[in-house]
Parts: sequence; C-alpha cells; structure tokens
Amino acid sequence: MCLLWNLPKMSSRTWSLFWGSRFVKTPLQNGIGRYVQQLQRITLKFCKTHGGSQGMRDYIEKELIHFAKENPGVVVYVKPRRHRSPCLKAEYLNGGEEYISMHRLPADDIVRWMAYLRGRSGYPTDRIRKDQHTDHPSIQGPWTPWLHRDPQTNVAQYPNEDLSCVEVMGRSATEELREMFKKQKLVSSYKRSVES
Amino acid sequence: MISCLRLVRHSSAFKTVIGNESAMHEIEIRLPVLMQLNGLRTSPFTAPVKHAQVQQEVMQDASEIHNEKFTKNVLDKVNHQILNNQCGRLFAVVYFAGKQKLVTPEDLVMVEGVFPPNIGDKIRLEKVMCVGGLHFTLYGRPLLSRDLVNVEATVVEKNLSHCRVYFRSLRRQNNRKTKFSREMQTLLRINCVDIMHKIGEIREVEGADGRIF
Amino acid sequence: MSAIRRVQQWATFGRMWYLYDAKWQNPFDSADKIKEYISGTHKPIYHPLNDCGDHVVVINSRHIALPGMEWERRVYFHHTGYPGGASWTLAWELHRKDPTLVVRKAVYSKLDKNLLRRGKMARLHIFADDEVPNSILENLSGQIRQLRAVPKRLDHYTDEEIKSFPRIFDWPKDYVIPN
Repeated sequence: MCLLWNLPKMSSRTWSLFWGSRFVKTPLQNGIGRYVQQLQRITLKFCKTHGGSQGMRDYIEKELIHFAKENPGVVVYVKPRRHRSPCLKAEYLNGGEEYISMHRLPADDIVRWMAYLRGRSGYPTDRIRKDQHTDHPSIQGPWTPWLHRDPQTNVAQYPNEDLSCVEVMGRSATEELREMFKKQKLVSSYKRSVES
Repeated sequence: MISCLRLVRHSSAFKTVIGNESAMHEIEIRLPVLMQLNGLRTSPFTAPVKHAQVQQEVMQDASEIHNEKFTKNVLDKVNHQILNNQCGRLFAVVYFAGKQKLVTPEDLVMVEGVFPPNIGDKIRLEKVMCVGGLHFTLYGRPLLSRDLVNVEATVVEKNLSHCRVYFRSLRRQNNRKTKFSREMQTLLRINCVDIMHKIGEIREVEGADGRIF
Repeated sequence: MSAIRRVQQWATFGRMWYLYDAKWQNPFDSADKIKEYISGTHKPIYHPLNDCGDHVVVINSRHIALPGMEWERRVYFHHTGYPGGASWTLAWELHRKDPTLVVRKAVYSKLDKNLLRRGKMARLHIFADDEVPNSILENLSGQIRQLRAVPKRLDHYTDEEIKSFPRIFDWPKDYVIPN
C-alpha cells in the first residue's frame, strides 16, 4: 500500500493498463453439471517464537481444525520456519497461486483471509469489464431496423402525406361543428317533410 | 340548542321567555316548520336522495368475443409448446441484488456487494420479471408467479474486486484523501430456466405458504 | 464469419434513410427529433461507441415556421477572427440568404459537442423545397412524422367546400366586410 501512495499521479488510462482487465470467466465451465472447488492446497507459514506470528499461532491452535473439517477437498500444510514473518500461500486447480503476508495480523483477520482464498477461482485479480457473460447473446434473434415495422412503409411512395402528418387524437372543434351542423340539417329537413 | 333558538327568533310564533319550560316544549314541536326558514344556513338535516332505479344490461361486444378467441388461440399455442417441451432455450429477466439481469442457462452473472450465499451453494432466483423462448415471451406485472418459472443458479466464485483507488485533492489547500477499497464479488452460474406448468392455470397449492397475490 | 452471420450484421447495422417534411414545423423542436435519428439513439442497439446513426432527408426547409417573434428576434453571431469582424444576422436575413441554414444550425447546436458531430451532420440532407434528387429518393425507407398539423389556408379550400361550411350567423345585408 505504501507503494500505491505515489501512484494516483497516473491517468486512469495508464492505471487500467498497469493493472490489466478481463471479462468474467470460470475455469473449465465450472458450475455446469456440478461445482468443483478450485482451491487445492493451502500452506500456512509461521515462526514459533516471533511476536509477528502470534496471530497465526492462535489461528492454528483454535481455528484451523474447523477450516480443515469444512473443506475436505483442500490439503492444508503447516510449515514452521525460524525468524520469518508468517504468510498464507494458496494453490488452485488451474495453476494459479496467491501469497498473502500475515505479519502481525490477529487470528480473526486470518479467518477472513482464509475464507477469501477459499472462494477464489485462481485467476489473478483484474478489473472486470462486464458483470455478465453469455454464450447465447440472443434467443429471439438480433434486432434489425425492420423488426415490428409497418409493412406499408416498404411499398409507400415518398414523400408520403399519410406517413408524414401528425396522428390526431380526438376531433377538432371544426369537425365537431360540422358534425353538429349536419345533424341540425337532418332534423330540420325531417321537420319540413313532416310539416308538408 | 342555541342554533334552534336563533331560528325561533325570526318566527312570529315566538312568545315566551327563554328558559320557560313551556316555551322550550313549543320550540321542539315547531322545529320541522322552522327549519324551512333556515334556507340560507347549513341545514342540520338532509333528506335521503332517492336514486331512480336503473336496469343495467351487459352488452357483449363482438370485438371482445373475437379478442377472447384470439387470446385463447395464442395461449393454446404457447401451452402446447410448454407441454411438449418444444420451447427450446429459454431466457428470463430476473431481479436480484437490486438489478435486472437477462439470463439464459449456462450464463455467468456477477453480483457486486454483500451477497451471503457461499461457494457451491445452489440458489433459486425467485423474482422473475419475464421469461421467453424463440416464439413467445411471458411478462409479469411486475413479477411472474413463483410456481411458474424456476431459475436456478450455483455460486461459483466469491472474490474481492481489484483494489479501487478513490483519490481526492483540492489544489493549494493541503487537502488530500486517498481511499482503497475492494468490494465483494460473487459469480453465479445460471443452471436452468424452466417453465413449470401451463400458463393460465391456477394451481391448488398456490397461496398455501402464506403468499398473497 | 459465416454467410448468415454476415447478413445478420448487415441487417442490424444497416443505415436507414428517413424523410422529414419541415413544412410549417418549428425547426428547433424538429431538431430534437432529427437529432435522435442521425445519432442513432432511437435504436435499441445504441451505444456511444457504436456508429449506428441513420440518414435524414429534410424537405421544405424554406417553409419552416418560427415561433413568436423569432424571425426578427433570433440573431446568429459570426466572427471572422479579425478586429471588427463580428457580425450579427437576423433569422429572416439568414433564411433569405440560404433557406436550409436555420434548420442546419438548429440541428448542429442540438447535437452533442464532440468529434462525432461533423460525421453526424454529414448524414443530414436538407432541401429548401420538395424537389429531391432521385438518387436520394430511392434510398428512402421511412418518414418521420411531423410535430404539428400543417394549417390549411382559406384559399386552399375549393369554393364548394367554403359554401358548404356551416355558418354560425348571417351578416347583416348592409354590413361591409373590411379587407
């Protein structure tokens, strides 16, 4: 993190080039049919005497047995080494590896980092460009400009008055007036015929 | 009572001193007559309005019958496909983690943020807004019935995102803040999108588990 | 790419040509509508990096209708870059010089201000009257609806129509209709 402190001078473009990016993927079509846990081996390295390994020693004493029981598919190695800071190293089915320093971390934090390593697929952490991937982008067929179009537009002669004019909702006052006039005429002609 | 007295003052029938028992009695008797004088004031009593009795008759529209036929025809066609398993690959629009996603079997969908399910868990996405095949699409208003569509997914990966840097500075103000954050990312594999029964069919089990539609 | 996929690509990204009749239309409101077509935002496949705009052919730009006092009040500013090179042209003056310019400038100013603007403007074809070259006419595949109904003037009605039109009242016989 100390290194990162100087990095914000990079433009976002350089930043993303530096870190790389990818689309979502899983190794070997995992999850189709059945799910296979990707974490294969995990090595806990620590020192038996140094204070920096205190949290790791606590973890191994109290929590590691639960982790091993819950994940029978994971091989757990515990590797004491003198006067070196503790770390976790995870190896995955697709050949990926991850190493995290556990120097001076309490046992609670190590529980969380173990859970993190357990859930990963082994691909390096990159920026994800899209949150979805599909091999079947369209089921009803891709859109085209002719989809759901009135077929008469294909045979119409342009410029076309009917396709150009505004679609009127309801009648205008003039039309209303004409209608009334027509009715009135009918009534008066009827009256006249009755009178005569 | 005060309002009654006020009414009385205008009438010539008022003779006695207020407080006299006989006068009060007289007021009570004359009340209905006095009310009529009170046309300019809000009357304390309104006679019930008598509505004329109307005989109503439901007229069947010819176009309505035609529409019903058309609807039935379409439903039959869709049901035929569902029953004979001819829908082909189905897609669905599911609502989860605050977003709408268009999914089809074997898709990968990533959820960012806190998402409790753990790796290897099978979950069912219940808020289905729309489901469709090559020849038809069913829309919910807004959701389709939970018994109708079955969308299942497996949690394939739980990871943290890349380290995002939130950097803020004000020029010449000695004001700089840098924050680093890694969000939780959960990757789901969609296993199946299935239509479980015919449409337009109300099942007996519906509503049994306390749901109200 | 297989033949079917190739045709699919052509179909999805095919450029359409639309006609727009600007007769008696407000050019500034029309520009909002034309803008959608030439930048492609009316399509579901729209994406800012996706060049999917359509062509729009505007006819009758000579007969546009500006709202209110706009013919006299709207001013177009231009500066040659030299001292004293500023000039202000009223809308009616500009329209007399070139009857397509009011529409063109209206659309140009409504488009997003970026490097794609000139390219989008190249897809806009404006004609002062309803005479359009045949090479363009045969491309047309649709027409954009006008925003407002074109009013019909009294001299466009036939005498018969005028006679048969209902009268609300009769003028007194000695009444002189002022012209």
